[in-house]
Amino acid sequence: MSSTAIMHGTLPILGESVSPLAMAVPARDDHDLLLRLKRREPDALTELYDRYGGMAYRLTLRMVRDEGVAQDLVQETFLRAWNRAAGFDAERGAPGPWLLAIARNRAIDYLRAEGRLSKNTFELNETEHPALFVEVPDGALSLDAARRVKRALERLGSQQREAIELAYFEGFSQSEIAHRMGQPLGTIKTWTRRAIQQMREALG
Amino acid sequence: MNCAELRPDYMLYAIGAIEEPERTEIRAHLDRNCETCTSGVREAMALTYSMGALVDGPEPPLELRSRVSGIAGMGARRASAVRMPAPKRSLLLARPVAAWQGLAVLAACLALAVVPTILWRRAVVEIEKRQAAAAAALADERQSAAQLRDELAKLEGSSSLRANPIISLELERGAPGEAVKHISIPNGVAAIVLALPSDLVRQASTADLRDSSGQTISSISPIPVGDSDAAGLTIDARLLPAGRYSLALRAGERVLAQFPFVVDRR
Repeated sequence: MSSTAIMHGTLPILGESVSPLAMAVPARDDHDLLLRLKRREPDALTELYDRYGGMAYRLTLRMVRDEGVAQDLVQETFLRAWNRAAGFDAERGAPGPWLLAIARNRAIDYLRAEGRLSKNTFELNETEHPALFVEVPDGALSLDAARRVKRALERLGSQQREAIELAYFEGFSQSEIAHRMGQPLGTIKTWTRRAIQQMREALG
Repeated sequence: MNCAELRPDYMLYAIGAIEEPERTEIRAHLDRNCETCTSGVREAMALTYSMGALVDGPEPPLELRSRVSGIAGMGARRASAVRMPAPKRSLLLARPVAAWQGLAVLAACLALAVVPTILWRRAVVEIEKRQAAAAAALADERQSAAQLRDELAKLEGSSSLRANPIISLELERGAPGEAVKHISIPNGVAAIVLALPSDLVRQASTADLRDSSGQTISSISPIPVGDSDAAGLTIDARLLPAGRYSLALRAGERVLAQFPFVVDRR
């Protein structure tokens, strides 16, 4: 009977660690990983990619709708993470939200430069208020939480969901959403606030 | 505006969709370290993360992993390969040139015509220097690209990486004889990740992988569970020829739950 054949979280393949259930990785592993990133250990960046690269790629692809561009932007995302890891608080930080925020900002930059997005949309700069990326509420980053939020999103009315998706995945401002959906700005605000409230309740 | 008035807009702020005046108001609260707003936006960011974390879509290509690994190994300069589209041309540039502007341009041209030859020569030398530096940089880039190609070729040459090395399956509880879940394992897959309810995993002391005869193929004890609500057990694919299996979670000798599944090979 082998005790090494089954493992939790990660598995070495060809000498490198692969972790397909990224959100199942214990928080303390993320902490160790961040410390290694701060020490600029090259393997740490690969491990960060193994945990969050798939997420970053799918989110970016959903936003830019071009595989080649998405790959370039994900590479740029990890380059930025590599260069800025030294300033990240490894004691309290959660790399997942931080990395996805970088990925989303890269995609928005691209959409804006391509002219698909107006300058009304602003970025929550991942370096401007670092406190926002640390001390994330317990359990808020789990796979279960993400599933609950996803289900809540799917249960929204079609117009509410469209408004939220236009904001998050397309990077539109509320005015742009109102214009696109042919609704008054006040209606869009009401829809999005109500939708957000339902999703927040799904997180408990 | 006070914190209560801003609360419904925290998430819109987190995703950048908010507009004035709420944007400035929330930013001001964050700038003065308002605990309520910082906490609220932080919570909203977790919500945002949840939205982004489970986006459906394909796995990234294997070559992307090599490209990201290359960032750390080869320096940031070569990894910066994103090509942003050129910004849209400003309408200001398309306006007709006014008459006085034309005269100014003509005057500038005349001034240039009388620039001393020595200055012109210096400019030429400077341009030649820059051209030489650019050529050296280009050669460096070509060499780097060749190295990247070689490394990629090595990776692609590995049979284990030609196919998707890992597949995952979310298990469901059931009796050992039941075929609740079915998984097809293509050639080249190195590992299977079995996702389990973390509450049960936390109660369990041992996980046993059993074949159809009930014999334990492999087990782990104790099961290392982190703070996450989800748990994943990764199994070497070589342990799973076609057949029926059950993953049993035990607390001591007591079986807490069984997760039957069927494997076939392609």
